[in-house]
Amino acid sequence: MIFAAVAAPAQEARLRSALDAETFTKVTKMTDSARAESLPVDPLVGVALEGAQRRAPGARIATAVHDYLVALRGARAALGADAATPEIVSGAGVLLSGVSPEDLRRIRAAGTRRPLTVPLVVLADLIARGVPKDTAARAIEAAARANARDDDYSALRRYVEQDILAGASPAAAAMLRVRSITGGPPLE
Amino acid sequence: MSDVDNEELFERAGAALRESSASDERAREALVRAIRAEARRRRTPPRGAMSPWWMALAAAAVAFAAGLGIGRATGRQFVAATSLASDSAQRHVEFVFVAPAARNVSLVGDFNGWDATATPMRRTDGRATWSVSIPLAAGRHVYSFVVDGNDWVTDPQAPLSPEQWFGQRNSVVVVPVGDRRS
Repeated sequence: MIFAAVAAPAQEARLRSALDAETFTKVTKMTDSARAESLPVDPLVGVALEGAQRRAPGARIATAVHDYLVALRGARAALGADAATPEIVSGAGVLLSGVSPEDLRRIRAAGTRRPLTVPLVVLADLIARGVPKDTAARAIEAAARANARDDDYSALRRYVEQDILAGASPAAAAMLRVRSITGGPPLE
Repeated sequence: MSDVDNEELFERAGAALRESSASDERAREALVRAIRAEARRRRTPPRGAMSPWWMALAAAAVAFAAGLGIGRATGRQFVAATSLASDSAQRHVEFVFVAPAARNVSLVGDFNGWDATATPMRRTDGRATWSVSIPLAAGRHVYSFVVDGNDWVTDPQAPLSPEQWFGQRNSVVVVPVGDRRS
C-alpha cells in the first residue's frame, strides 16, 4: 500500500478508473490547471475519488473539484507564494468555511514565526462546531499574535469543544478560552 | 437507543464535563465514571444498532484511557504523535476507533483513495477497539471510518474538516514535518 502523494500518471489512472468519461475529462482539466499553477493537486484528486467512493453524481464531483481549486488559489493568494502546501490546503478549508481572504491575510501577518497548518485546521474546526466565523478568526489571530504553539491550539480546540458540550455558547467558549493563550482579557 | 435516551446520555456527559474544567485528569475521571455508570445501566446495543452517540462516548473513553492519544491520531492531540516509517519521508500513524458492535471497520482517506477495502482495521483490546497503523506523508490528511461497509463515521476525537463536498464532513489529522513539534 502506498500512502504518499502519487505521480501524475498514477493520479490520472486512478481518476480514469473511478470516474465516468465526461467527469474524468472535466476533473483532469482542473488538475492540469492546478499543476500548471504549482498548486497542490493531491487534494483535488482526493475529492474526486471521495466523491466516486461515495457514489456522488459526476456533475457534483466536478463542481466540488472546481470549488476546491478556486479555494486553493484564494488561499495561496492570501497566505503568500511561499506558503507550504499543508498551509495552502488548510487555508482553502478556512475559506470554504466562510472566512474572508482578508481575515486569512491577517492571521498570516500575525503568525509569521510558526507554520499555520494547525491553527487553520483548528479555525475550521471551531467554525464547524458553531463558533461564528468572525469570532473564530479573531481568536486564532490573537493566538497567532501571541506566538501560540501547536499544542496551544490543540488545547484551545479541546476546551472549546468541552465547553460547548457542557452547554456554553460556542462564541463565548472561544472568546474565553483564547485567554489562556493570549493572557489578556477575553475577546469582545 | 431512542432520542429521549440520547438526550439523557447527552445530559450525563455534559454534567460530567461541567465538573471537569479544572484539569484533564479530572475530566478523564468524570467522563469515565459517567460512561461506566451508563454501561452498567444499559446493555450493549445489538450488532448494527449502535448509534453514533454511543460510539462517540465510547471512543472518548478509550482516548482518555490511552493517555490522550499518545502515539495515536485519534487522541485529543490531533497533531499525530508518530514514529519514523521505513521511508524517512513518511511517519507511522496509528488510528483507533471504538465500535464494539461493528462486524468490520476500515479506514478511508485521501491517502488511500477513499477505498474502503484498502485499509481494514483490526480488532484489538478485546472486542471493542479497532486499530490500524499506516505510514503517512507529512501534512494535513482527511479521513473517516467505514463501519460494516456502509456507514461513514467521523472520528469523534479529531477536528472536523471544513469541506463537506458530498453531504458529510470528514476528520483531519496533521502529520508533523520531521521531528519538529512546535
